[in-house]
Amino acid sequence: MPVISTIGRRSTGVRAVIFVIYTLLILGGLSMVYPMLLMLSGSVKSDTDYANNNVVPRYLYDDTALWQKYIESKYGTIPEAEKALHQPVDNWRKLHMPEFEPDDARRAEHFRDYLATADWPDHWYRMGHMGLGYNERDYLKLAQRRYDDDVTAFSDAAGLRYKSWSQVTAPQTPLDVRHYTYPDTAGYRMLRELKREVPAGDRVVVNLDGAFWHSYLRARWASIEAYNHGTLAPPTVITMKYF
Amino acid sequence: MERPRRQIRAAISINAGDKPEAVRIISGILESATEKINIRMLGNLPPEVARQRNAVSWGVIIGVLVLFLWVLRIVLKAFTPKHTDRTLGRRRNESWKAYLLASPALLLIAMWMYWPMARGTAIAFQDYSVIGQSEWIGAGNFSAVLFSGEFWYSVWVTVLYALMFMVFGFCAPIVLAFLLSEVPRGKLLFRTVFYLPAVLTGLVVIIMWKGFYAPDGMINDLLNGVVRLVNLLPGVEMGLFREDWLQNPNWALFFCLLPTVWAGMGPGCLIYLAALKTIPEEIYEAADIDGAGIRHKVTHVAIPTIKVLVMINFIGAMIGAIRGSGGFILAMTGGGPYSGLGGATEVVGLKLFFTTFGYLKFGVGAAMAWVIGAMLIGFTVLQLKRLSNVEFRTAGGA
Repeated sequence: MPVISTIGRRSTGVRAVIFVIYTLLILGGLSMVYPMLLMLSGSVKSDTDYANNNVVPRYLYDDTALWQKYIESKYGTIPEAEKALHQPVDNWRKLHMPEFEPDDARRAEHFRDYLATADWPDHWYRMGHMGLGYNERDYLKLAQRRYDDDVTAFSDAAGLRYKSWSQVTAPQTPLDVRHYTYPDTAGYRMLRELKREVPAGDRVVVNLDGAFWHSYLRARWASIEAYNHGTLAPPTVITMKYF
Repeated sequence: MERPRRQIRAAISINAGDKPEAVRIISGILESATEKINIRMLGNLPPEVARQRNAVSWGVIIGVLVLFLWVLRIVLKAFTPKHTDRTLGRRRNESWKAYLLASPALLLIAMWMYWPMARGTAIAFQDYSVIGQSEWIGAGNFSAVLFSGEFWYSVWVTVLYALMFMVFGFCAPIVLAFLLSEVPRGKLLFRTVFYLPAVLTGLVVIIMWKGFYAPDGMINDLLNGVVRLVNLLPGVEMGLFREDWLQNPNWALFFCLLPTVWAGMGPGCLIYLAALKTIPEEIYEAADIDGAGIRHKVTHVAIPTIKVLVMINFIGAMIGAIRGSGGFILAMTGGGPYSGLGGATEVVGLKLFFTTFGYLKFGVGAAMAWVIGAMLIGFTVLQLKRLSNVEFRTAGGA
């Protein structure tokens, strides 16, 4: 601190200068540290919340954010979520958490009882939490365990040529597509095996209504008005007499 | 194509009733548009204009050549020792040893710097094509550069950028160095903190800042925080910001610069910090005894000491700002937002890149590089002259 001499530090002018120095440095320092912390927290953010500028991820204290993240993890992509939920999603951040109704706990109990007894056929559901989710990682682990970490052996069995385990992803199973059948390769067999073991909450039910609405109706008519206009005869023809 | 249509629509709405008049106006608009397109996009010029432009271009080329030769002379003069040792002359027959020792470096520089430059110069006079025979077209490329409004607009953008860089990017490290050397406590902490951005990859910095500039990004959040505070005052109602700052033609250039300043501040201040450290304590003490205040000590002791450093860095920073800003801006905005004049952030370096590797007009790009080089060479001369005068001594001189 050569310019500000050690003598006369207590005077108001010098104190003001030192105060200004501290203020500038602290403000500047914050601007340097904040992006660092933002990137650190960005590493635990996903499509739902990457655009939030808060250092502490919101899902740690906000249930809606956590629920949105759960939906994202479970369904993976927005089209899949729209098909399964049969509602427009557009953006994970715009999803509203459903309100609790008084009967919900009882219904959930009943549903759990049903799941415990019912044996769902394979084509009723696919596995959620794939992609970046934990079931994808479980799939990879299963493959590595079964083929003794030998990617060549797994490639031969799966009928695909993987150069390393980092390239291995679980196969897609578009069960709502007409005439879809599982290819009979090791990858698909393993996926079905894993699917039977995952908890019932991880199941994504194949929603044919939703798929029809998403892939056909909405693709053809952009809005409900357009749909009404396009399918019904023009209003002049429809008269009360014919109804 | 859009502009004549808009003009026609405007004209017709005025003269709706008068058909022959409307036809005359429309054909006039279309003809002028055709002419413009011929000149600007296809390069088909009327012969007398082409001849005139050619002559101007040759003039410029000769000017550039003379300039470079003159610079070469100045550089040679600047680096020739003023008092040559007479005894050296007698031993001239041994100087081949020196040349031999220097030859690997000289050869490498010639091979990697001057040979490409020579090839590039040849390309500047060709209608260059990557495969097959390139046609020699004289000064055509230079006239394409010199008579392009967009090129001069990008030069203007570059000048603006360089000026802003000098005001913010160049001064910030110096101010920071003073602050860091004067702060009584926590020197090490602050130094570390300000050096943090230097460990980030450039592209990461850019992507992050692009997020800050987005409509729901941090910059708008900060501004909205201020707006909300202001709105607490009775009777004040301000709208919230939802601006996409990089799409704002007035602010885009400044916001392209800001991350550079932010990231360069910490590393840039190190050299000044080191220089400030070399000032002996006694000088300050003497100044104290003479009754100098903080301001006087800064202006009469500290700044004169780091002046040489500032001068060298100044010229380097100027050249760097003009030449090296392209990559950063390419990732930031890609030159946009575009208007009729050109890109609001399309600096010359980026324009050069787009022309050469985007539109694959290698000849025009090479010509552009020479024109830019001629504009910058003044700074280079200044820098070299400074460097040849500077003596490097051990710190403190004590």
